[in-house]
Amino acid sequence: CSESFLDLQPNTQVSTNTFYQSASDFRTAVNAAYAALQADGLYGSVYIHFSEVPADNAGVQNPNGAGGIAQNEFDQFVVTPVNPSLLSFYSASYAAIQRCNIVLGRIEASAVTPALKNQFTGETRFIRGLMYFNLVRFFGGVPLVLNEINAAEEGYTYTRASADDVYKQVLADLTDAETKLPVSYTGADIGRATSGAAKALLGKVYLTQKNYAQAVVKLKEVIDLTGTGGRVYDLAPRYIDNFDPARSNNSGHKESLFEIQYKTGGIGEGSGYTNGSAPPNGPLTLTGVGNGNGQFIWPTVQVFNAFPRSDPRRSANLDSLIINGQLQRYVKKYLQPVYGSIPFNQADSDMNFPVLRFADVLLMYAEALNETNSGPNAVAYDAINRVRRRAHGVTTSAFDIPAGLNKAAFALAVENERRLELAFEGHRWPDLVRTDRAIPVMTALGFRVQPHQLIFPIPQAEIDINPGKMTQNPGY
Amino acid sequence: AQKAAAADRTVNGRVTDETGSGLPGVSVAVKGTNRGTTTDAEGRYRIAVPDSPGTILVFSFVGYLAQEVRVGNQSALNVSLQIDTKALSEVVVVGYGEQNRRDVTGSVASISARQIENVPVTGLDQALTGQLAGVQVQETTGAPGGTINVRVRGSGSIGAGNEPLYVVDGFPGVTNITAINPNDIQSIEVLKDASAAAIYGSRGANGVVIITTKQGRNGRTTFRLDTYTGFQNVLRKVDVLNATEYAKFHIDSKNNAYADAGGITDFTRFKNSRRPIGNQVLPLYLLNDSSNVINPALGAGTDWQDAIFRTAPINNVQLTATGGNERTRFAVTGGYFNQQGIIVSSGFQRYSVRLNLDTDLTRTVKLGINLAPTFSQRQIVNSDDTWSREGVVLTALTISPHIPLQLPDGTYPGQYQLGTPGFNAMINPYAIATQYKQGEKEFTTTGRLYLDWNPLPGLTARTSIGTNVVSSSYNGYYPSYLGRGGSAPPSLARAEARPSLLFNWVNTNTLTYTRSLAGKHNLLFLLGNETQKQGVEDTYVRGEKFSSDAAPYVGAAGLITAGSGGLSEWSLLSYFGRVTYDYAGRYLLTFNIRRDGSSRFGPNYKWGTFPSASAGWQVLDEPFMQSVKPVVSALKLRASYGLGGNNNIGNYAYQGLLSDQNYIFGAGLGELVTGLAPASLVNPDLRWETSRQGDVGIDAGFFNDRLQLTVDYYDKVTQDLLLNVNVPRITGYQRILTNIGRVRNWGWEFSLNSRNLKGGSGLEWTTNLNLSFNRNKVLALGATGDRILSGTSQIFESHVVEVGQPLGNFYGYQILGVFNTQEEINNHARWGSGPVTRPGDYKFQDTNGDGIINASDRTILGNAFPKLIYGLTNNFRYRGIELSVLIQGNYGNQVINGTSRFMATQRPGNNQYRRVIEGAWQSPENPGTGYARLGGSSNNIINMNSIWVEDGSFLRIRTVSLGYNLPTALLKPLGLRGGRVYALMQNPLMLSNYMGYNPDVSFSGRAVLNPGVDYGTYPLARATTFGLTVDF
Repeated sequence: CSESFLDLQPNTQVSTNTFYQSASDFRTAVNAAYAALQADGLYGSVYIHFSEVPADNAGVQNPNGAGGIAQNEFDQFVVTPVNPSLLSFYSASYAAIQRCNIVLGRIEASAVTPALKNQFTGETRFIRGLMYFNLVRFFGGVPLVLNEINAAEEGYTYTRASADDVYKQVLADLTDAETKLPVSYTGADIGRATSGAAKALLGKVYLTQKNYAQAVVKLKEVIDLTGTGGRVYDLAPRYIDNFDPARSNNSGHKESLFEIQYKTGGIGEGSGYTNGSAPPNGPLTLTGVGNGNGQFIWPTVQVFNAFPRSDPRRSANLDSLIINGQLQRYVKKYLQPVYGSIPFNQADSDMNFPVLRFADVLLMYAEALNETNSGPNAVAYDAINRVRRRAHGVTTSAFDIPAGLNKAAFALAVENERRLELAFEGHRWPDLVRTDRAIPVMTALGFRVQPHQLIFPIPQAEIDINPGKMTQNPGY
Repeated sequence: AQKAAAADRTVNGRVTDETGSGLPGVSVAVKGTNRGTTTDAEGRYRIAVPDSPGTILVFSFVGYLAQEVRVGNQSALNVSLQIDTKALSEVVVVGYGEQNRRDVTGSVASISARQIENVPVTGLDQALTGQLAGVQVQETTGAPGGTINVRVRGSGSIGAGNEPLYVVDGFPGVTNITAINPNDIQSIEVLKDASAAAIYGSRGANGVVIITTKQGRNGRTTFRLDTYTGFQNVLRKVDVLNATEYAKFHIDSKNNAYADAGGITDFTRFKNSRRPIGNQVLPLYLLNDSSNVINPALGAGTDWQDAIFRTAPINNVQLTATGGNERTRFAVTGGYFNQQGIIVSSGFQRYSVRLNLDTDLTRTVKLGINLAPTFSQRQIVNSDDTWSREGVVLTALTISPHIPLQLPDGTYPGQYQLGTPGFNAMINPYAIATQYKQGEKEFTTTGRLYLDWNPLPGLTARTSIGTNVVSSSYNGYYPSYLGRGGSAPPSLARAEARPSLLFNWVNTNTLTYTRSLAGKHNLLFLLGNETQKQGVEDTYVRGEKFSSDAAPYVGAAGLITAGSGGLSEWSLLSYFGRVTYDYAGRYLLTFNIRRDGSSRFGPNYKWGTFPSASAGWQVLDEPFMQSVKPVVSALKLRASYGLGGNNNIGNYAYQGLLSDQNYIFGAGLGELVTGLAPASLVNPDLRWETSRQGDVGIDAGFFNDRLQLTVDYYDKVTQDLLLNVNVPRITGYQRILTNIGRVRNWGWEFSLNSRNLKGGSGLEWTTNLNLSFNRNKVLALGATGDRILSGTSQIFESHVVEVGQPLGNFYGYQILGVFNTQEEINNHARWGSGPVTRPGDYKFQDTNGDGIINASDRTILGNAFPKLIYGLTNNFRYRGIELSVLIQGNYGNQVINGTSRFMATQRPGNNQYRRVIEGAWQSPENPGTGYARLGGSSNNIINMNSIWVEDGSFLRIRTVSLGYNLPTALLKPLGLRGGRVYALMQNPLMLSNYMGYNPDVSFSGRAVLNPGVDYGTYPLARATTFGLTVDF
């Protein structure tokens, strides 16, 4: 009697003791791994700062404002290890990895059917691969945690793996995901990771490793991927269809491979992109609700000028207006009212974040072909021009890039095309670093970038807590 | 007065103390009858007695020896009462019993009814503050009805809370002590050492505060009316810039920043509008575009502190009736208390009733009832938060003073209307205070029913059942016409509702047996068990999409956007015992033990045992000490050692719990799918914190106890510290709750009571002084001993806990001063990255001497815990006039002034402390008082640094009260037995060099990892009240 009096179980939460049995339990656990990607530390906010703010596309709206101080350090190449964005990104990435590890460690012994085992394994390995790919690109080698952590002490046993080992793990995860994931889903499962997404990400990893031959293979597999309705992927008819929330997850087109999903309605699933890319004190019509703050993404003058006036992607991506007598430029593509609907609340919009889309695949393919063949071949030209023709809404060669470019010139053309086509989608800084162009491009703009700054410092808190095992990147 | 019966006659007279002054309130009873009266303010009485030579009058009064006098045939009988020579002999309440003060072997500090009556109090905090050695009371907020923060002998815990256990009329674990009407309190005992507190086992490690309310007593029914009324103002205002000064600061800092960038700062040569936007001065601050003259229309602007603060009334009325006969005794009080807050729109009202009743059912069975229903309501302003979350205080301090309080159209403008990059979007603080409606209503009932049975002499069995039910309801509404979160209005209106029901029951059964053998060996045995369970059911609902602001409740919302609710429970099962033995009152021994089982801990550590032992020696009772007696009138040595526990870790903490992590799937807009992920790890080894405490003490009296001294030395080591400890983020978690370390607290406590003037000349003067010196050190932290860094709201890594250092250390960059010349810069370590350092910028300490300043140069910047806390009370009495002055203070601690991260930056965007701007570096010839130049790009002043750390020492005159006991001549015609008028000032004076409102605060209240932070806290009030007490 006394023991039962003292044995109180929580009434409002599920305990881990009794969970992780049925297929439905595992599906919920996998969903939680996707949910980790929405975090502010990842695609909710910090990912875009890591991948755009250091480069020439994005600056900082208010360097002294609440969120601006941290961003400004990235913009000005004065990042210190205590910058809160570092820890935020690092924590959110490993939170996602832990959720994947829980599923991967427990599903084998469960009674889940083999087909679902494959799917859940593939999904979590895809997410884990994506996380480690981000981590290794931004931080270099990081601890490789591949098992569920069950006690605090375990956290102190890990040291940083080499960047090579992290890449090996990324390839292992994605290669397994590629074979286990289905080509597509139906109904309420649409939006889960597919084998096409895994292949495209593999292509990107190979490209980053300068393994161009393998990149060509994987990217071609994506392009040629065939399902019940023919080719699985194609460019959307219109550029802006990619960002229209009503058309997300390939509703009415075939361009999307993987996106981070949000939903408005006050259900805790909305994104902050809309208010975060609108300028402060702008008209209410820009956001539909509340003020903008420009903290998500803020364009530079250079990127404005990089778009030819003839390029429709300029007005799809960017706009400007006079606020209180001052010209304010802002990113337009994440403003939900542009697509005819308004969010429920501030920081609660429908805007998804595109991680992988077919235009990216085509441009990577062009880049890889150019590198493997010591110059562009016709296929490479086709790939890049396919993107340009869609952008301009033409089927003619009127806006094609000039024929007869040499390898270096073609590489620059692809770089520029990626800058315009994939503007503010989290590609510019990794692209510049991957192609060894970060220092020359940023130096030309007057920034002093040192080689060690191509990766960021390990968060200071992570070193402080485990000083014997965690080491800082050189130069910080 | 009672009309004499025919056969009676009247006796009158005066009762005086040993100094000859009249003693009011002395009970005068006719022995063997129900007849009785009490003396008036001058000690006079009048009583009808049976006309019989055998009639005996009994005079009794707390703290004095009772005296019996045969009346004989006298009609006037003057009596002089002697102070109880065993001067420390009043009865003190200890856990599950009472003891004579003389026999106590543990460390127990107490406040008696007399002390409380001397200085009327508006809250429990005032009853305790500065009164007891070893007890630190902090008002973490000046908000009416706010909680207080009590520390007994320092902080032993870093993760499980440091609040003592509150026991009210035998009910352990009362949480909402603000619901207690302080006028109902008879006495407060604080059990400080392990011997005293071990009987409360797993809840005793932080000390125990026992509150006993007024009981009835045998005699005529007496009534007392207490009433006071007064007003409060903010204790001090913070010195910030006015609009013109702010404009000058803005222009200077913009010019400096522009000069750094190589620009020309003379507008007459280079117009303001031709500068890059970031370097432009806001046009409204300038007379025109091409002059350096400040716009004269700015004037002083708005004083935002005047806007949110007000003179606020405070009122209290209370009626008490006590009385009884030989079988039944009762005390009933009814009270009404109304305190408006010094910030507009805040306030607190309390309606309380208390009934204490006991009755002898038979000769051996007694039944008792305590019942205390209380209704209270609070009007809340959003005070203790940063401006970006609409914190009123911080917004009022930092918003630009040129903005008008109200526009002609009736709207309240905010800073967002400046519309210029670099300005923070703040909402008008007056509008937040008055328009953001938040209120809480609470109904509390504590009740207890007990039955005592004395089947044999010396044997008492008691069983009691107590309940504590707290039903509360919070409602808040944020209107659409106020901006929010840094955005201009309209915002999305939001209503929140949070009803909650707490129910706690406890059953206590004790058996007490006392026995005296051969008249010398005195024994007491106590055995008991206790069963207690608490549940809290609460619900949270948030509604948005209001069609208008007219109906500010969740029900009018167009959409419910959040909802949660649940039941959270704990249970505790205990067995305890006590044995005390003394030989002739000279050699005293006490053993306590308690065994607790708790639902909160892991299956491997469900039960804990907490024993203690103590001994006392009345040295003066020894024959060889008789020679010192004229000088030394009391001398007792005490020693104790024992264990206490701390179980304050929240419910279900050892279990791994899953939390919602939902996502969206499906084409197009998609649909919600449920996700679940662990929010915490399973920890089957989770267990109590255990503290081992030793204590030695002396209680001494001198010169017939005119001087009384108590000295204690204690040493307390808390082990198995519970901490939600930061773990490497690679685990996927930020923190995991573990038992990880040891902390030691040790120190001295001195308490001195002195009757300086006995009143022979008519003036009586007593002094009470208490001094507490606590030291604190972390002995061990986890397996690896890694330090723990933690931050405060928005301040990243502001505190450090590390082995060998005390808790409460501040951590960050040490600023050594300001660079005066380029040469000084060249000779000093430089930043690894960041902007160029120029003269006038801060000089940061290169702690590790590597020539580079970076995060690894951060060091300890101060400590939140005082080296000394003290209280000094002086009471003066001259005839009917009483003056009482309480001085209280801290010495040797520091405070993180969190507002400095906005107000001591020398950068435009927030208003600044005047001291910081006036003390800013201007030139090598004019180097200021240690603050950097205006508008510089000084490295890292956005991170925790020593400029934000200020001296937290203060001395405060806490209360001054002046009372006058109304003379009988005035009272008698009105049919009154006693009356007193008084005036009371709280906080009339504070001496402190602190820039903010009050150095004695902690923004995060009971935060254990990051104490000593001021961050827009509701400031303390200075109150002046006038009171009247009438007995009839």
